[in-house]
Amino acid sequence: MAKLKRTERGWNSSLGVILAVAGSAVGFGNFLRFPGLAAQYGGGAFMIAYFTSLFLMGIPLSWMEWAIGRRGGALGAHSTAGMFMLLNRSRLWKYLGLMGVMAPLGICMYYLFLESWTLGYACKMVSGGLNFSSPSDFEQVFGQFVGLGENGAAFDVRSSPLLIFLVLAFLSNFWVMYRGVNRGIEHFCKWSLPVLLCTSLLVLLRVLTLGTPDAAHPERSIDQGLGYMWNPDKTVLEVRDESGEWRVMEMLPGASAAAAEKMEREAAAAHGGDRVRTRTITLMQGLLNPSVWLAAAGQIFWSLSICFGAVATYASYVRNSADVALSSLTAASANECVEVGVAGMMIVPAAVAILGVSAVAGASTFGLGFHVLPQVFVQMPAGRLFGTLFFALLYLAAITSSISTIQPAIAFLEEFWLLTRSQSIVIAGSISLAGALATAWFSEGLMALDTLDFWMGTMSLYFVGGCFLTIFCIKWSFREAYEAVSSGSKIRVPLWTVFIIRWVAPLILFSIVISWVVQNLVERVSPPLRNLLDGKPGAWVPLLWCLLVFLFLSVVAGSSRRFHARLKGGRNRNSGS
Amino acid sequence: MTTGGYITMIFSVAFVWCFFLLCMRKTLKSDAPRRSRTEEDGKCRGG
Repeated sequence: MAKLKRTERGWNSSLGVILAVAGSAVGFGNFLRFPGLAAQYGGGAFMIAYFTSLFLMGIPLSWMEWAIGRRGGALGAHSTAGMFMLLNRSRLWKYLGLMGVMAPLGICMYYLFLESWTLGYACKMVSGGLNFSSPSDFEQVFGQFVGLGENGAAFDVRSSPLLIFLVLAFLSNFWVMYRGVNRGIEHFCKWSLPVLLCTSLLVLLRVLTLGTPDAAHPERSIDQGLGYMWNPDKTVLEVRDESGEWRVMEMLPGASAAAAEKMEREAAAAHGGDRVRTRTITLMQGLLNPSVWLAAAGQIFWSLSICFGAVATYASYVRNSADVALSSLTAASANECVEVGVAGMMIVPAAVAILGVSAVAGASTFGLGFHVLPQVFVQMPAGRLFGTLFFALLYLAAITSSISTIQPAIAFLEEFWLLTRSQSIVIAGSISLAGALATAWFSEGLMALDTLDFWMGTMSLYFVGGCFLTIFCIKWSFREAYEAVSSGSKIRVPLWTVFIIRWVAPLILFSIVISWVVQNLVERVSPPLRNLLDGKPGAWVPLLWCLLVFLFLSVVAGSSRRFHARLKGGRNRNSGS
Repeated sequence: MTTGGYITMIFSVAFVWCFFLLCMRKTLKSDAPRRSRTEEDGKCRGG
């Protein structure tokens, strides 16, 4: 069967695709989500669960997606719509595969919004626009910048320059995409990842040399911060707030019982004895707590950016004889290096050293990034420089992630609509810009962003992951699956790893899905649903836009005869045998 | 920071860095013969 002409040149080297996939993985989650989770659940138990999930789920699923991507690419398909259709020999599967195009595109829409935040904060840092002393000032600045108060506020350039940064972020992304896979994405990732790593090491060095910045607060030190992050056993002092929630105030020094008692007495005197308690987190407790395992497995799943279609698209440009096992392993290791090896020693320790444990404990991902950390850098010696570097590296990490979310749509338009790359970029760019503007406009309470993140950035990923698993575990035999991963491999791939991919990884993923849905469905869907019933549909507009885009792409896919000849040829061969 | 904390941190950080450097080293070594062939081909074609 003659191979279809490739619409795009492939990667120049395996290093290129590795850095592109690593760039797709390295993002906000590495710097803002992982440190918070590890500190919350206790370093020892969380890291055991984390590494177990990495080797039993993260890397196996990564191998699976790379293998499917390479196999799809060999058949001439670079979007999951084409891949799923050809690998399953069914036209129905192109519509299911379309989610692997739509999900990344939906993610791109709100990711552009987030990128504008990091770019804006980098500029604010360098210009001294964050020189405040009160935490409420930082919250107010953030709220004003992103338009938290009301819809459309972020577009008022007199009060917020966010629109300018959004356009700049958009142009940065599409300039890279315009240049193509090897001259654009590969070239960009080849220099941006090393720059990102070096910059983060520089900031890490600054953080680790902070010592005890304020002698009046000896409990605020890098040692205490590292301890809060990594101690497998720790005792925290909690205070009950007005809403009845227990909030961590401080970590008690384990070495000195006298110092711990003194802190307890002072807290009881300040807040009332009945509103203060100590809670001990031990390694064994953590290991026996299912929440720790689910949180760690969830972090691995999100951190590696697997199962939403971008990695499969990237892998489809790899030559059929090229390795995927070592490449996938290297990309995953690069992500872990940044997450554990750099961010794990940087974010939480810096925040604890400057502001204390109470500022970090319970902070959300974006709360940590845009409320807590600006305060940290402003108070840190030479903080303006390092704060600028930090937000700049966050911006770079965000771009390398967002460009991976655009390529699947471009590949789809090239394949099914037979457009040139430039034409595909114009259409994909227009779609994502419209979505990003809608997300930025409906900024009240950031509900539109949250809604898009829930449906496109989470639920649809589980669906696409399920499709990948269906192909790998059900459609392919054990032997086919093993060959898909191991052919061309530069490392020995044991046979039992395929067993892990087909049985263990899906079970872990299924557990994450169920627990996540049970914990989050009501909590995340209720607020925007209430708004809708109150006549405020703003939160749903970007999602509605995604639905319209999906319908449009379905029409394109449905009216295209692409790959049909291949299916017919395959069926005739099968019926004749 | 406790002794357990130091052990957890040092092990985790050292593990991920060694993992990354080993994988990267193997990738670059296996990529090297192909890169030099590609460069030679480029020179021959005048590209």
